[in-house]
Amino acid sequence: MPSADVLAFDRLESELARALAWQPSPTVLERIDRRMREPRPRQPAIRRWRRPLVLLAAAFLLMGAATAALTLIQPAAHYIPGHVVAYDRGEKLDLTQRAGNYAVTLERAYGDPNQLVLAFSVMGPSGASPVVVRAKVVDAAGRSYLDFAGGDATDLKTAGSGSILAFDVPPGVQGTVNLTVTVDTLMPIENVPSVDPNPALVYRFAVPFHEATTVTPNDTVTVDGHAMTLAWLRVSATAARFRLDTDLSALPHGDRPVALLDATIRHGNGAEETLSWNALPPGWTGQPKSGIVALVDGMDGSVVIYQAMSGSDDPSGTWTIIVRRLMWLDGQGGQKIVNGPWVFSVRIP
Amino acid sequence: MDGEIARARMATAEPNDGVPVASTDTRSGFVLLYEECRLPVYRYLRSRTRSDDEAADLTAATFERALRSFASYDARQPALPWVLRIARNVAIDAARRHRPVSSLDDRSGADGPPDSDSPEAQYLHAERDAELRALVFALPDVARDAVALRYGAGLSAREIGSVIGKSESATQKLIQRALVALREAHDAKR
Repeated sequence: MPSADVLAFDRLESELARALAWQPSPTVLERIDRRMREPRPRQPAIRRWRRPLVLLAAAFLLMGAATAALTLIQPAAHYIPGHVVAYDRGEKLDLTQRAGNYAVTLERAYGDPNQLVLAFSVMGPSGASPVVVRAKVVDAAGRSYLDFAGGDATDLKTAGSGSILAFDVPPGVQGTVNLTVTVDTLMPIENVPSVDPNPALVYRFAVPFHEATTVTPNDTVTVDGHAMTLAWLRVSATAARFRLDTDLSALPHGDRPVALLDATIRHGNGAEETLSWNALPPGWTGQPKSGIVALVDGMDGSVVIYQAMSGSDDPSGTWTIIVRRLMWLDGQGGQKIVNGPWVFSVRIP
Repeated sequence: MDGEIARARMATAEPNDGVPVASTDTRSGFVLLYEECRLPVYRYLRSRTRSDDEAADLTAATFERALRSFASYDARQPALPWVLRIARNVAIDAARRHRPVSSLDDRSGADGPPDSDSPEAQYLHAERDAELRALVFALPDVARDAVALRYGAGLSAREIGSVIGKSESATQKLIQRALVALREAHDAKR
């Protein structure tokens, strides 16, 4: 027979399940849905906390793992194969600055026309919350690099962390470029007071930008009256990027269409990679983020830049992009799908 | 492999198992993820916030951030813990901006779970629910998170551990201690 304690806990758990099963009212649901359809412009006051466009904010509990924070960069990079390549080939910098009791090291930097990748490690005082790094990048010509991707790994035991930050590269960047990286945000992963550096940490260094191969097929495929154009494809060692122009004007949608592709990219006879990466349209490259009102690239228009998770050292051969369907919110709380496929085949000599 | 386990769970998921898994097919279908995770994310955030509106705003902010982060989402992993990790960060950021946080305002809790009992039972349940929510809200941050993720979002101890950065066994102990604290706090009120 269960003890009174067990029965009491059973009842408590049952009551908790009921009490915490908050059921949002239709009004509340509509409020959430509306925000998703009509995202608010970023506010300067909170922008720094939303700065990273891609954070997997992963707090790894690395029990028994090596305690050096340096080892945390690999798990931070592993989400995206291209970031592993960038880290492996990155310029070794090992520039360390201190913010209070935290040592913040810019270990490596890698650049190509598809992305600039920075690798940071942080060592914190024992018992403190790990923090992850957020940074701004400008070059000697005054061009800003927009952060759009990355990953974090933290070790609660050592208060160490590793962060990979990927930035969009402004047009025209090539050769060796002098960069200034400013770290003004050290984001704790626990609910503790801010440890943001004041003044901000500034790192200055030069990094060579590796080359990429670009083709401009401007190929249009129409399925059931819906035209889609592959404007260009750019392949570097860390990523393959391409631009798709999709005419959604004839489709029902809310005020701002959010179209998502069910699509793949394939190089030669290699494996298909599912695309889920929306990179930044060229028009926004280098602009202040406060100027970006879109929730996802292309949602307020039809032009979207996609980026594959990996690139190629030898881009020659045939690249096949297949868009199997488009999905979007119809503005009525529902989801709509238009089936393709739209198939693009691009040959790089 | 975890990924394979996660996929199997998708096929056998029970209603309160609540862990949608974004397969390769749905990986680009953020909309599906949004629809499946929206309610548990709201419930978790509602347990951390003082009003429906604040929870709604944080829920939207969570999915905005998740959408931007979708590229780094590993489709072999369950989607809900991933989104809830983001939700937790969003809530922490918001708490840092709006400290201090006062006690739970249950006057805005009119959107509690539906109840088909009699009016009297509904009243008693509502009173008890409000009391429990206030007690949960008063728990230390990590304990409150664990309880909200367990009973609000329906995560397992292992999944909760992946959200709050603790091992499965540590999470189980954390929840157990939280239950003890809740019961003691409840008893002390009587």
